[in-house]
Amino acid sequence: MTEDRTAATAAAPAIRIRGLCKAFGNNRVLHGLDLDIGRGESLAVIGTSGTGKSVLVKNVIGLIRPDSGSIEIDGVETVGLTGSARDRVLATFGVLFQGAALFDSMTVWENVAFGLVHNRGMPRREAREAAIAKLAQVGLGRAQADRYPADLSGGMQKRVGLARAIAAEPQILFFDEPTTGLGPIMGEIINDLIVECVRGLGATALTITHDMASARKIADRIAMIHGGRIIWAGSAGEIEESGNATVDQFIHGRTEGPIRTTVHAA
Amino acid sequence: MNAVASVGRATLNFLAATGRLTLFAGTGAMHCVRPPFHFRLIGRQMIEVGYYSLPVVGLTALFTGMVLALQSYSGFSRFNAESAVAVIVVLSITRELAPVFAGLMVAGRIGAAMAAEIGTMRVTEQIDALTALSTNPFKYLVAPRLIAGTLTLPLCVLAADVIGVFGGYLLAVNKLGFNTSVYLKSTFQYLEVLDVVSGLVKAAVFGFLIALMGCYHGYHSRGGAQGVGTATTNAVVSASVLILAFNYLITEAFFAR
Ligand SMILES: Nc1ncnc2c1ncn2[C@@H]1O[C@H](COP(=O)(O)OP(=O)(O)OP(=O)(O)O)[C@@H](O)[C@H]1O
Ligand SMILES: [Mg+2]
Repeated sequence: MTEDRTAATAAAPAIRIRGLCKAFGNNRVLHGLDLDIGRGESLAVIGTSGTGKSVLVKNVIGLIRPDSGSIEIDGVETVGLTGSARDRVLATFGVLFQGAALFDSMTVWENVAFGLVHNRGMPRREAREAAIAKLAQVGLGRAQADRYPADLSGGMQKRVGLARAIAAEPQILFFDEPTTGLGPIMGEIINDLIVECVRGLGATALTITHDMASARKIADRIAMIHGGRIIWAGSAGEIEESGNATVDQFIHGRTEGPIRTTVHAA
Repeated sequence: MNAVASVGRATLNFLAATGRLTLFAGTGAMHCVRPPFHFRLIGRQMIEVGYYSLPVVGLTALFTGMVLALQSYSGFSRFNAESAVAVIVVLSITRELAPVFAGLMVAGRIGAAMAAEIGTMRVTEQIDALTALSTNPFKYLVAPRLIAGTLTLPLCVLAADVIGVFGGYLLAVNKLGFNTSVYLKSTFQYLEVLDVVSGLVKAAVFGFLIALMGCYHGYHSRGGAQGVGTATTNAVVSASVLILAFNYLITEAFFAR
């Protein structure tokens, strides 16, 4: 098991996961996953589809309760937290979901301002201006503010989702497949925006992706999840020389190798 | 042997589902009474449940009142008891038919809409996004709907009472040759407060059940558009069955001597 030691140097890492297990019925998705993300670090988790990347993020956010294991945020155990203790942790998070997950009953600006209005009690007029400023940051004009998410393209929805994630200036950002389903150019634009936002906030970032170009661009460090564990972690530059057959197969997109695709298994 | 096992499994599943539903209802109800309240959302749901349901509930009540007058007249005239028509109409409408029919109509309209909306929010991760923004979905989505259902359906039923009785009156006076003042007098002569109140209590319970079923099935929907479709169907069917079952229970509680 390749465990990461570099990040554990400072005080407490921003996120420290130990022995995380989660099964859905007989489907054991995560078993014994260990991962550290240092403060201010940008980590990308790569892995094939269905290996539990989204499940990992949802465990950290607290949307799914782990079967066992520990998840510490800034040195504080968060597994089992509820109510206002959970809210305090959540207040430091910003999340961009895989499908953007915009509230379709609200306009674009109401989406972006949601956290400001509901958690900070900001008056709507003021929140609207704040939202428009965030939208500008992700390259969307004032004209988009009063439209509904359903009227936007996929790339624009991702940008709105990004604006919503950064609106409350969180310390830890989660991006679940930020570029999936977008064209290469829009993907690149989103990558740039993510890098910009993470740097701008000085935040810690956990990005889930199976797009290697995106991982290299966004992340300082890359970790690969396979078989319910992190099988390799290292700096983004090292991944070519990982010496790990599974990692090699993944980053070069080969069909032959240790990763059994469903086509082979059948 | 296998038959016993499957009966056992079905029983366990049923008990588990009942437990889940009870827990869901309890959590939802707790958020209904505990501040903060999202008045904007409650208001919007009340308009949705009440105002937009009025036409369909009103029409249902009107025709029900008319049919009731017609049927009871043709039945009671066989033993010269036509004078009972007004009483039959007003008691049947206020005690039974207005709450049950309004409940069933609103279950079809609102239960389905709630299940579809919340179900779509579930499968598109909007509920996860809400939670990630430190907003409790029970407080934000479930409680306003439960409150709106419980408060608004009685108002609808009150309107249905009036319209239903009026429908019976219209038919009796215009078609069956009743005298206006005699009909009105016998309508109110035997009507007791309890008749109306029991109907309104029913309506409040039905409203809660409709919203509960819509939210519960939507909240637990799985697997894309098909899952939302299933949730919608289940919400309407289960709400309708529960309405009829609780109608019996409440009637028994009020009128069984
Ligand atoms: N709520 C859930 N209930 C049951 N099973 C689930 C649930 N969420 C995820 N799973 C299962 O967990 C496994 C991992 O899912 P996950 O969404 O984390 O994959 P992923 O790595 O994010 O894949 P992708 O790259 O396609 O998004 C899948 O087999 C999925 O069926
Ligand atoms: Mg995923």
